[in-house]
Amino acid sequence: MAKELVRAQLVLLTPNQLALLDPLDVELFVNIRSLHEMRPEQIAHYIEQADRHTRGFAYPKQWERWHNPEDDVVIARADYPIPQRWEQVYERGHPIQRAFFHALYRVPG
Amino acid sequence: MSGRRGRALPRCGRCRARPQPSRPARSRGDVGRDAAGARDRATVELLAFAERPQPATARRRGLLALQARSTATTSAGSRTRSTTTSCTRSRSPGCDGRWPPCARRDSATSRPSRPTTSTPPLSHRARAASTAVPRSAVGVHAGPRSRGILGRLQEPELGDPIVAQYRGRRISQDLGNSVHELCRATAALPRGVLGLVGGYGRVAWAMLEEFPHARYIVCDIPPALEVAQRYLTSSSPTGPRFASATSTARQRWPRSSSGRSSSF
Repeated sequence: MAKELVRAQLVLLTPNQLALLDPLDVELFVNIRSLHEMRPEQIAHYIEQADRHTRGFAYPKQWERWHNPEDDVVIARADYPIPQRWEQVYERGHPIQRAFFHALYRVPG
Repeated sequence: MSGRRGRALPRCGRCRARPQPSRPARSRGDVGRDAAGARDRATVELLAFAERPQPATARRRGLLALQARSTATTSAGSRTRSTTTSCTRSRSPGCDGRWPPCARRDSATSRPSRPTTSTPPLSHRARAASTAVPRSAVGVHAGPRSRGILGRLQEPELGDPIVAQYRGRRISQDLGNSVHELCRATAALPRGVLGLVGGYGRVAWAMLEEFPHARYIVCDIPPALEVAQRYLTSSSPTGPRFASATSTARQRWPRSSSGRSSSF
């Protein structure tokens, strides 16, 4: 399976498989507008997985504030548990979609 | 991971009425003609604006002004079938009943004021079309790299997206967003990208088109993976080299009595 992953140009994984694999050592982690749909513990889990698999940069683009009616929780920009060891390159409101913010973090190896 | 139940629309900021979805009482033909007209108008406006030499700040403000001409919701993608909403109860003075709620629109104080020129009312489909074009120009004002990428990429036809022409190529709101995100995220040529919750694969497609030697890992729930696999396979002339952990899992999973795999 590891050889297949290395040879492939495109890999499709389910979320549970992400936690079972050895570090993938990707250079860039991208998440566009989906972490806000999760509960806080799920967000923390996936950011932890991103930290484990990434050696380079992380780019999240999320709503500035989102109310999840299913779980009745509000996720705002400051609520994302960004690891302290991630160095912030920038974090600002999106210039076009103003209800969003985007950020780039350097994830040390 | 998305909500299982429909989300209630938030109340209007002034009159506190909860907007009710409503569909325009127009024929499909009228909607199509409106969409085409709006797309043409917006395309002409965008091209005239984008090709005009001017300072970056003025260009950005101009693009935002173009964007402000539409009242479609910010989250409506070019593939989303959106519906118009309006207040149905009695309104407070100054509430025009449009969507999004007036308080949300008023709170964006830095947003350019809505043009006062009288424009004909558009259907929801036409509004989506006129929104798609200015937003797809996010790469135009973002810098020469974005313009270069937009000059190379072309929106795939799969999914029948609402497109506009930019320098002879099809572009869309989603392609503009993907290029903007790609330029903002890639400090150097990436060898490997991990996309958590890849959706239908728009970012993956743009990444692989721009960085053909990169490896892209899409992590999402099975129905979305199926959509992404079909989109990325159909949108690439040669098709990417796939490695799907689900294919390995499928071999091990028990088969149902009908003989089909019980996996997706």
